[in-house]
Amino acid sequence: MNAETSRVSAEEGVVRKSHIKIHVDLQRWFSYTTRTMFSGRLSLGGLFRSVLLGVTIGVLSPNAVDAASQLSDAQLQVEVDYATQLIYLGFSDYSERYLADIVKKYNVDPTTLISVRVSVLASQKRFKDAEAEIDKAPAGEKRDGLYLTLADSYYMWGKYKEAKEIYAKFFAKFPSPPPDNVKTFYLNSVYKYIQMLMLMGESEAAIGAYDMMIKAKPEGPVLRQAQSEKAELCVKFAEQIYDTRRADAERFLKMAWKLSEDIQWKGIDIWFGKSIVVMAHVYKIRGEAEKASGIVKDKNYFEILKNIDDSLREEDLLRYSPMAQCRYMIGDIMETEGRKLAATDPAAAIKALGESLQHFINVFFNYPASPWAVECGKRAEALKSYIEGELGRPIKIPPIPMGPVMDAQFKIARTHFLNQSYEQAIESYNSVLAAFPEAPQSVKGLGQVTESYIYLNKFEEAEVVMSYLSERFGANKELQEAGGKALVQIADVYSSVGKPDLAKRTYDAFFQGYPDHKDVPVTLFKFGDVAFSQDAWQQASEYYEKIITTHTNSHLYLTAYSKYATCYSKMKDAKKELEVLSVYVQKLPKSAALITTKYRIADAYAKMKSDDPYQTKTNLLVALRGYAEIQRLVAKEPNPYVATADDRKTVTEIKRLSTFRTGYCFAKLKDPGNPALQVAARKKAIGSYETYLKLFPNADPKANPRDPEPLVLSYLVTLYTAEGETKKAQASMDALRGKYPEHDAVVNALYQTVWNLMELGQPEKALAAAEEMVANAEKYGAAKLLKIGELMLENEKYDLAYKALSRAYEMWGEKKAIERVMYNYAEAANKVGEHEEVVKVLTMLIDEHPKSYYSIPASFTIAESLSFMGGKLKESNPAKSKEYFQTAKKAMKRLYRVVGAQALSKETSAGYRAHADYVMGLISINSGSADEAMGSFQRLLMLADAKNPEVAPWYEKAFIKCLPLMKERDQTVKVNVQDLYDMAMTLMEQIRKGDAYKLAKKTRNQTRGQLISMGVSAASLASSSLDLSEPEEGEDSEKAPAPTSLAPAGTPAPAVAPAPAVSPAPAVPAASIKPAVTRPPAAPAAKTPTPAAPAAPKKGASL
Amino acid sequence: MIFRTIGLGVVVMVMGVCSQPVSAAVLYKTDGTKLVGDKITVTASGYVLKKGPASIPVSFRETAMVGVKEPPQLGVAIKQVKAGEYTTAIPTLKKIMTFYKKLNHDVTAGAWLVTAYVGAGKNSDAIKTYDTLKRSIKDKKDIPIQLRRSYWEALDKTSANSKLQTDLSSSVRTGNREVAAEAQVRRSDSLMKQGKTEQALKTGYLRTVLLFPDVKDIQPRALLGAVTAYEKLELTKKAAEYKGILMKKYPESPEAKSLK
Repeated sequence: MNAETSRVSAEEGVVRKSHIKIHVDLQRWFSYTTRTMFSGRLSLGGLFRSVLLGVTIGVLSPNAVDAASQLSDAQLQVEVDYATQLIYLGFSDYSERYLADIVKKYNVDPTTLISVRVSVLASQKRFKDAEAEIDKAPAGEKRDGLYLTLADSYYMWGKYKEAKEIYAKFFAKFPSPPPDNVKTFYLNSVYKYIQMLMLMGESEAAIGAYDMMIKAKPEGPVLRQAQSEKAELCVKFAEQIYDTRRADAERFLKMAWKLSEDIQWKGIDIWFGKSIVVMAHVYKIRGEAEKASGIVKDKNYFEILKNIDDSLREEDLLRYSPMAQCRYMIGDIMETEGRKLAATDPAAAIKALGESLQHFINVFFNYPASPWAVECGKRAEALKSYIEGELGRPIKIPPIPMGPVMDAQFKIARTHFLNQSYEQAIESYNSVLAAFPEAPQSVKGLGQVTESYIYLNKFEEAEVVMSYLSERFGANKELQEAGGKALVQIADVYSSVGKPDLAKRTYDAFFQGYPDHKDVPVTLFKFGDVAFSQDAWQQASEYYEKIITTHTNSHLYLTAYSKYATCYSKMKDAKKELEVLSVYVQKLPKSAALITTKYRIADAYAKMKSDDPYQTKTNLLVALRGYAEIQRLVAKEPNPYVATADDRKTVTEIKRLSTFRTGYCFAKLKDPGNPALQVAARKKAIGSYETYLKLFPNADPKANPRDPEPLVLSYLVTLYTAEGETKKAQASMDALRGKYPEHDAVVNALYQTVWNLMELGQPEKALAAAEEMVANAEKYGAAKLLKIGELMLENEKYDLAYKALSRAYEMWGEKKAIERVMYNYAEAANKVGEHEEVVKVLTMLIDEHPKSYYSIPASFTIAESLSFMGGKLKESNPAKSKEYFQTAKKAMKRLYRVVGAQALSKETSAGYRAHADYVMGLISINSGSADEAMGSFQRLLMLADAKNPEVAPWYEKAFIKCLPLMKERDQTVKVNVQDLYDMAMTLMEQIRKGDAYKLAKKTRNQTRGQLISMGVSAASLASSSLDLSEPEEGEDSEKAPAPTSLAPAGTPAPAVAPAPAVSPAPAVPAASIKPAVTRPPAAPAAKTPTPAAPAAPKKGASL
Repeated sequence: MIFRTIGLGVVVMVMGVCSQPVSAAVLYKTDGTKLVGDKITVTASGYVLKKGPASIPVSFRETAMVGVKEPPQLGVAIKQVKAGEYTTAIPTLKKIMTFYKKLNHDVTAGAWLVTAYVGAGKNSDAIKTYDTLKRSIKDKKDIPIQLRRSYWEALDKTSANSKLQTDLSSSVRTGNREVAAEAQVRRSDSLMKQGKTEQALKTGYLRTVLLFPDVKDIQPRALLGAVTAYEKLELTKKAAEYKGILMKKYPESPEAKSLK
């Protein structure tokens, strides 16, 4: 807080006092925040910043405080300062709004805010608007000042020409020295202009600008500085052009000499010292080496230089000493001379080079922080080798340690960085990094260079350095540690300035470039946990996976394993979860964690879904074995799995859960071929649940809301109902109601009962309960009706399914997943013959949700319904019938578009298209158009790739359907027979087994004979089939699989698809059109291999 | 072959492939001992230094450095390669490479042999020679830039792009600064061809300009790359900026002349 604002706080009256107070506090806060934020000590994310700013704007908005009609100048200045702060923070749009509010609310004269408005407009690159704004200011110093501010902005945005024009216009106003009242302003402007010109590389113009400064006659020290800097610039520029523009160079050298003499006449100070260097430099450029070194070695001058050096040493400012530069220059001159003499006069050469070496070493050791130290160190080393190697003269000097110089140089750069002088930090670092590119300090320095670029919004340069850090040091054992840390720090800085994408890219670069860095597992784990907490399971699993695959020695290894498995549990991928847990459990010592993992494995088996009831049974039996093992292990006392009180708690909880889950698994256990098993299992389930209630009688739902007791009671209600033990069922229900009146199982008792009864194989009882639910639909809601409808649909109770789903559809509204409701409702309608409704609802579904998973099966259902409707009216209303068939075909054609709109694999898309072609053929058969049907089938047979497993079934079916149609054609015509032969051959080339293959082979043999009898040469027919190595009949893979040992005695083997009829197809059976998948989408198939199937229990395994 | 050690009177049998003895050698052991011999022979397990009637075997593990006089033919062959007389130089360089195996000059001869092969259009031979040579160089950082350059050219000419990219990336990671700088510029040239302009700029051209100022030779090429990339990205001001640097700092470079 500056003095003025302090005064404002003190002097303020009632009016806007609170506003000012908050404002001043916030100014302090802003100041602190910007400082800390930019120094990397405070991580202030973009979001946080925006929110905070929003709050700030809200609090500080002039509308938010008691209005006063006028602001004092001081108050106004506070407002202006605040608006300016906003611009610096990158919120120029807020600043603009804020200013507009001030003008409106406090009747402020807009011209008083011109200055800040110009800054706002310039920061938004609205230069023309800014100029218009400036022209509103009264002519004079203020307007000039504003134009110069604009010139700075032009320069900042790379518009150098415009910037220069403004400055030139301003200076043109002062042909003679400016009057005293604008002198300081004028001098500051000229100096800024000079810096700008130098950065643009326009040295000559900068020299001219120094003249303007000198002519303005500034105060003593400022004048001497200007003269000295001009002289240095003249010498530097003259050196550049000496070979090409000698006359000009001489002019500048004379200018420099004259300036140096002027400086020397007016006292001894640091500028005096520098003038000696300039004079020596002039000689050096002219090739007068002796004079150059002579001037420095001159006794008087040397004494003066030494005095300056001493006083700078006392003030710890030695790095500014002109002595270092003098010595460097003499060293340079002597080295050049020495090398020249080496061939002709070795003794003189050694003398000159020896002197040069002395000067370099002197600078190196005595002025380590000076800009010449690094160069001197390197040249000293090179010179020593040269004298020893080429001139054969050993040199007795200690090895030149670059360490101290390097430290000093890095320290300077680091100081700039810590002072937030980022431009200077980059400049210093670039200079020192050029000398020490790959030292340990360099890596940290590179990190700070990147940070500096970020703070300067130079993201391209930041990324260049970041990518270099990532690639260059990861494999370097010595620098790896520092490199990785630098990258992590950069990522944090990106986050703090609201660049999460760049932060992520940096972290990725870190993981990729530094796979062995010690911080990798911790960082990966951190990322995994962040994703985990956001329910981004897939992403989290990828981070954990990296830990368990590449950081096996990390202390986080086992924890990561556990979390990795949990991710799959959350993604409902029980197979993968099991795969992970099966490996994880092997790695655990005897501990509570081992018991927990065993429980997780058993649970994963219990949850694993399968369409095969025998596999489900096997999974449940394995789960039961797992729970039994847990019960046995935790029963031991003293228990080897318990080391702490927490372990005891964990193990007890696992015991409780495994008892509960035992009952659950028994309740689910069934065998389609052995109803007795389900009855026995039900009794076991009741037994387990009753045991649970006995073992854990003191459930406290408040202390543990996830206690399974209410579920136990709820299941007991259902199980006893199924067993016909109504009294016990009632007792359980009473217990449930008494203890858990709010529990779902009580509130939705009927819903749960339907579900449970269906599972327990009591469909009649379930239907009655479901009817009751549909009758009271409002009470249960659309979601539950949908589930009940789906359950009925699955169990082929179509009437009730239709009732439930139509109510669900009515009640659904705008909720998510409407496509699921629409599709299932249409499915039920299809089953009960409401085909028009099917077409209406599903057409709407496809139109409104073309990207929905359901739009594909919906297309097939539409075709099925329309085909059915067309077939029905074929005789009575041929025109309408034809229309339906045509619409059905259109639906199939549209399927191509629907498939295209979805993110499907190439193979799956091809599969759907093949299926659509096949259905088109069927529709044509139904509509009585054999030719069109053949067209559809043959398109599929000719164009599709039967090697694609998604296409193959439709390919075979199309062949089987097409064959009789082709056979109906006149078989005495050679072309027709040849077509048949060719089609058979095409199929045999694509598919090498199965019914279609057998049929094709038979057809090939028949037609081959026919063709030979028609005069076709056998050789020509044989040649096309020579390369077909036909499989033996016995190799046919379509054999029925042997019944597995899981099937209990008497269980029929899974049905084998009957060989399709070869005769012409009758009207298409509804099921023929159905898509391969009609149920809601399953989770994407896991790419990882499934765990080994559990050992199958023997037939009729005892429970 | 049997050699006898001096002093201990123990007969040491060194089996395996031996090179022909080479005259005047100095061997530095890892413990700092310096051994001077009249002749040196390379065996399967190390060196045998002969001094008069005595033979001193030193294993590879014990050897820090070996110094033998440079064969005069090497200088001649190198001059021939520089003059473009590749086919004349190749047999000499091959002989030196074999004769001086593990005696330093095999690497120098090999490096020039690779260059000669590339010059003669025998790129596959160049690649094979490089691969053989690479195996005998302990620290890959010691592979000279000229050798790598020839190898990259051979790979480029034989369209072994994947191998080239792998070696370039590996050189960027582990090569000395001169090698890394050139590798990243070459890699950026490939990225430019693939249309990955921004990546080419950031991971090669700009990186070299901003962070490898110590590698002067490559600067004009990197600057020209930056100019081309910025022009492709339609960032004309930036392109002009880097063009200015190129013209000012390296006005005589072919890259600067190509822009005039």
